[in-house]
Amino acid sequence: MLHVQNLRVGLPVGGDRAFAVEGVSFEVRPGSTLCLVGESGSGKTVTGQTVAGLQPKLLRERTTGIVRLGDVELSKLDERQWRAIRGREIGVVFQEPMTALNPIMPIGRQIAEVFEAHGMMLGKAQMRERVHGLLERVGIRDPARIANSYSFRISGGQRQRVMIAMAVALKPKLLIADEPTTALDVTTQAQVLALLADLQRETGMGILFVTHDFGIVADIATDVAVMQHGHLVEMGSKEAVLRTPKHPYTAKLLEAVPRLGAARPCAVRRAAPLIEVTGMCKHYSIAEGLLKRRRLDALKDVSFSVCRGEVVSLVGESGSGKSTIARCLTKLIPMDGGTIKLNGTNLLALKGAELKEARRKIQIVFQDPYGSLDPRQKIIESVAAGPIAHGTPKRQARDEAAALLALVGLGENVLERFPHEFSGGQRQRIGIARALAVKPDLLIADEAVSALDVTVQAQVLQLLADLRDRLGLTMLFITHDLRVAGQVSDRVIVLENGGIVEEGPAEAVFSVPRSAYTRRLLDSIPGLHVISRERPAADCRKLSVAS
Amino acid sequence: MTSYIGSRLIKALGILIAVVTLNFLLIRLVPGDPATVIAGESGMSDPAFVESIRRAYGLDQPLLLQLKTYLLNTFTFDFGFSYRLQSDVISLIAERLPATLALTGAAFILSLVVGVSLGVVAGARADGKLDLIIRLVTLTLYSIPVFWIGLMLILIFSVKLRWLPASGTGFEYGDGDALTFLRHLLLPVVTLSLFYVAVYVRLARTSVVDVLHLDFIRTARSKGMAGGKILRRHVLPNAMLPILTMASLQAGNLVSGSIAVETIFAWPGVGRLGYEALMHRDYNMLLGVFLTSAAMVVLLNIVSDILYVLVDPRIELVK
Amino acid sequence: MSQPQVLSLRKPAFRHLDLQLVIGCAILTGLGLTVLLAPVISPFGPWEITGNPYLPPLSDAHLFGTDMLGRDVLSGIIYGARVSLLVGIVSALAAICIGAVVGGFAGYFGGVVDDILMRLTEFLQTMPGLGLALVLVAVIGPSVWSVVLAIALVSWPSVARLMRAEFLSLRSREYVLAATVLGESHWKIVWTHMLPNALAPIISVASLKVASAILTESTISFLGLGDMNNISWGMMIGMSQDQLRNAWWMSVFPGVALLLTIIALTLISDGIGRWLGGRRQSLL
Repeated sequence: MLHVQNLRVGLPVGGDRAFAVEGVSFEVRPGSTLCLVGESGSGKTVTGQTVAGLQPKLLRERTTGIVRLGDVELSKLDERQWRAIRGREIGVVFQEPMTALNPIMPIGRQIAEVFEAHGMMLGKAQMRERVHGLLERVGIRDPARIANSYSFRISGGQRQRVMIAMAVALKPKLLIADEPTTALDVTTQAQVLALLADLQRETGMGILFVTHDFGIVADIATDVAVMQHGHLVEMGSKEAVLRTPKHPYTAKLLEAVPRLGAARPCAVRRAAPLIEVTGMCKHYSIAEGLLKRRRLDALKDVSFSVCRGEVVSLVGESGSGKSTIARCLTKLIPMDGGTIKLNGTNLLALKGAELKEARRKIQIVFQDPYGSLDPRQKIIESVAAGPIAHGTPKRQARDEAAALLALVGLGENVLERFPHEFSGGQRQRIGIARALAVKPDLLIADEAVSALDVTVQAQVLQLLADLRDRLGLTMLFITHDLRVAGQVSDRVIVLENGGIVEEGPAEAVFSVPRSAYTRRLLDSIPGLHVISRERPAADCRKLSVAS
Repeated sequence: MTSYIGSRLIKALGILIAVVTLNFLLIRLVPGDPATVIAGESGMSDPAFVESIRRAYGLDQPLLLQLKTYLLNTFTFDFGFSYRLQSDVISLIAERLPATLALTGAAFILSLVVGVSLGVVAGARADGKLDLIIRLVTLTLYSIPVFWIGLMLILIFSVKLRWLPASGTGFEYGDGDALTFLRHLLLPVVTLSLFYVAVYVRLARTSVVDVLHLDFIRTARSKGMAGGKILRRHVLPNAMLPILTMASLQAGNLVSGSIAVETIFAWPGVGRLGYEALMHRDYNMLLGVFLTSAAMVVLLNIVSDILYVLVDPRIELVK
Repeated sequence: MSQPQVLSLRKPAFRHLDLQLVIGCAILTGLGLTVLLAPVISPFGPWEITGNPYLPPLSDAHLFGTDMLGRDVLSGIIYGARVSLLVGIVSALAAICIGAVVGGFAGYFGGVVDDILMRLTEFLQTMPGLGLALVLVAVIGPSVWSVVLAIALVSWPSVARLMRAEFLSLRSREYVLAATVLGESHWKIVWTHMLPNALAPIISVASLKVASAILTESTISFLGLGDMNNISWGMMIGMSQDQLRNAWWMSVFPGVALLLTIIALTLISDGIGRWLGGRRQSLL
């Protein structure tokens, strides 16, 4: 049904490379799903956009090749003819549902626009009925209310359902879904994927699904096409590609997908607790109008402890309070109740120099590799700044910083460079070195690998595992991904809505989860049953540390 | 929504009180005895007269009490007496206000309509030929001093071409009609507008370009909507939000910009009244004019706040 | 979790930008030289009566003609540049310093400090700026420095708001959080992490502030409220107002000088803004 032949999209002169996509050919059959997989910069998104004629203007004039949908030669259409195709023959769902909806237009009207754009001038009541029916079809329970709402009033999952409603409103032959679940929580993701599959069964549409996640591929794909640096390196049926990848890059990608399972047996239990949190509470008050304020509980009576040499994961979806815990522990925000004891001393009672010293002992690595380093500071200075602030002589601090950077896998020649010269993975390494520079007792990693491509993610996880073993680091590892938690931690704590719902050794939590919520999280992991669990965990250590 | 507007009204009231207090302080900033200052250049400097002013304004009382008197007076529309013109300040202002409102109102609408239209045209086809022309014209308009362009327009259209009158409203001798008035209004309004046309062009262009880059525009295109319709239904409403904010901020400058324009074109408005008061050190008059223009601005801000609620549903979330 | 955008789709705009900056800088350099070398290059003194009144432009020795007293218009323009540039730069600098401190404090500390400072800022921003400046000059008494003070006082609020917005967003950046956790002091964080990263928009706005200060100064002088002892462009245009029918050149040439100066500063501001920040700065 959809034939793409020798697609090439050039890039403007002066970019990193001469093309975004080079010589890509594939097809999507009715009722089937082709997953276009690749890491960032692979050209998968541009390919998806080009099929819908939505690539940026700058790229449109640089696009060659044949794109055919049924009998229509899409690559020859002018903008007028394209309009008849988009929305009717091709529906599109984008990654970020928050920004993909007009913030100042009610949801219902935005859906109605699909019908209007294709000449269906229905009466007001009739249109309302159509819109409500559509919303109901995509699993929204309260269509009348949602139709009158604005996008910022509804949840992320609802927004993405609305986007899907718009895309499938006219029962298109082809649906292009560009990372439609990447911005969603894992349980929501599972629901949205199920909805797409359901709609596909009903309408028989073909789906071109752009993703970076092999787990999703395993769940929904009929065929798989793997892209790297703008080239299509491997294509085939899902079974063939997942079981017997032919291209080394595909194998590497598959290898890097985190498996669910405990990386190491729970060895260091019952050592003395390094940090003890009891009854931690945090609430925000939100202004509603002039005088009214609403209380929002971010953390409700959270208690846990981390023993010396232990790695504990805090796992939860957005809004679970996991990052709030990190910020309270590092005293970036004040707590509203509870105590933190570090080595038996109450952190909250400390002041002045004692506080500064106690603070040094808890360091943090942040999520965003692009925002966590000062763009105007050389990396050696970034890493040396902490020790200098704590009184280490400048020369010594710089020497130690250089040694640390070498330890995290960055060579001598990088010391005087600025952050923008580094890749995302390298920046996270620098962030880790910066935190380790002040010799902390506890290292908090707040979603430290979440923004990274899967191969880079595996390398950084490996680095953390190495550091743990070599330095005997105590770590609090915060993540939304149970699989990642299993890779590094001894113990897992599962959070929901600001409270702890489950706690235990990683293996136990994974194999016999006690709470319903943990079970739901586990069930929502994409591709869990397809991507094999057999691979021994030790294997992941063979991946090279250098990037 | 009502609570939002309520909070805005309270804020406006706060600003008004602050303005009056500022006014009160300004008078006391003037070197010398406030009573003498208020008596001003009325030519009556005999001690008995100054003493009577001192008592009338309560200047012999403690400062806080004076402030209270001043506030109360002001909020009962008692702006004092202009000894130079021998009349109540408030009645003089009331007499001149219509002319200023006509001038600034017309300029406000003209600059907004022309500026936003040109800006949208430029922004919708950013980096095209038309855009370049509009940007060059805008840069020039933006850089011309208001008073100078006024003189140049007089030079061209009144002195050389003799098309339009250079001063007054046409009603001076009580025999004007609407057409005469409009002929008189044209040059001052254009003078006052040109700079703000430039401001709105630049702002509208930037916001349109910004909105065009947002994701929901791509969504609209993916629905198969036509370009013109996307511009009308998605781009313009979103691009209007910063313009609305700017318009209410600019209103204040429009009022003070009218000082120069009214002076050049001998326009019998509040601005010229203020200018003459300034030249003759007639402080009661001056502060009355200042207060009036500040009050107009506060009023416009309330209007724009209410408009904002109607246009942007997110407003209740932002404080 | 957004994927980092690797493909850069922005059209390189360097040539276009260079042209803008070059033109702006060229005009401004010329103006700077004029100010420094005024006594050398000016044919006459600004107040000197050097010929017949109302000599039109291109008369012998009077390129731009003479005024109603027979003073050379060109010499007036050359000397007038001094006041314009001096007042413009000094008051803009003062406004930026006040605004940066106020906005910086408000943005860094937040809470009550922020509330109080921002109320004040908002209040001043609602005031009709030019009107307040005129009243201030009238109240303090006309001199170059009262004009500078008045302009600085009415133009810092927009700088403060910009600075506050920058600081607010910088304060929640992860590298600033990291510095806090590492134990760096408030001063260190502000100086090494926040100020350098807030500089780009401030510099771009500085150039615009100079332009608007020059405009305000010229308006004050035009209305006859400035320092009458130092000749300025606004004053020259003000004096020429009654001579419009007799001697157009008296008002045209100082106006063109003003216009070119403002254009230059606007070009520079736009150029710097795009070059440093890559963001589109709205102009006011």
